[in-house]
Amino acid sequence: MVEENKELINSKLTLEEEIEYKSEMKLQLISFVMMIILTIIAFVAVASDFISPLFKALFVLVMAGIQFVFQLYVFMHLGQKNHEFPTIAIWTGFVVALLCIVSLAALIW
Amino acid sequence: MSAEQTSTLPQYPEKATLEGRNKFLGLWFFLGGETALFATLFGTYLGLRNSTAGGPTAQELFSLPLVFIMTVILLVSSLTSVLAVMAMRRKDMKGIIRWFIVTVILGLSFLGLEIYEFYEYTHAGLRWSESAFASAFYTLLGTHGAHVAFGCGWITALIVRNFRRPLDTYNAPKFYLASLYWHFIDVVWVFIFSLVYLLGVI
Repeated sequence: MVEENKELINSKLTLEEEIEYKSEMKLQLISFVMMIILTIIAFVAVASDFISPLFKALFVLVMAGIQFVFQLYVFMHLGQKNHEFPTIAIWTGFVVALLCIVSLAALIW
Repeated sequence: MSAEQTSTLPQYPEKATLEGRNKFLGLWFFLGGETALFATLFGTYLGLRNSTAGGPTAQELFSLPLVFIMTVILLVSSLTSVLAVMAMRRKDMKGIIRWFIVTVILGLSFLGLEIYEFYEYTHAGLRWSESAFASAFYTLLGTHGAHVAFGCGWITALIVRNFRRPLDTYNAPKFYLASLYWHFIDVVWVFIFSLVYLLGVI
């Protein structure tokens, strides 16, 4: 118990901060491993010969979408409190981006 | 004592001042705008990706192993900048500097691989003016690469400037924003490897 206290003082964090830090760290590491796995799955799916091209394309898009959400909400902390305006900003940008991509793809032939 | 000084830092030093909060909001709005910038380039590329004008096609050029290595490098650099922000939670300035140095090294090795890739493609006959596909491809990838280069310069400047300074509410927002920007670069890369490379070879 005494040793534990010493450790806490050395790290300059209160007990609550320490607990929050540990759970946050765990979340970050888990989501990193998840993203690596998603990337490998996407690459393997594209390299395999047994899947139809249309399904491959849809699958890759879904994997990218999941990674996008992980990056924003975990790595960039968008899920934490006081992130209302950043949420509006980035999703507005995303909607504009989708419209832009669809209209450009439709305009060019 | 410096240890006592740092212990008075709030838990979220990057948002403790009005200036820090304003910068935080400003950078997020900027990233929203950057999304639109990259959307125009993605839309152009997707529209023109089959307009090869008799030159090399995406399927002939792209090598997935190289792209996979680049993807992993950028993803790991995203993790190291997260670890720098986690070091900020511990008020550990040495940790912040150390993880950002690793981030910059990974960013530079990513850039090196990208330059090597462009060099190979140029020798395979894909010059910028070769076809509409080539122009759209180099503009999209080049804009992303320029963002990586800018991010490396930005973080290096922060490291040099704050190398011997303690963490405070003045420099904490700077480090936090650099890490946000770096993640955004990785977000864009996720879409590049999915939409350009993986869809390109299907």
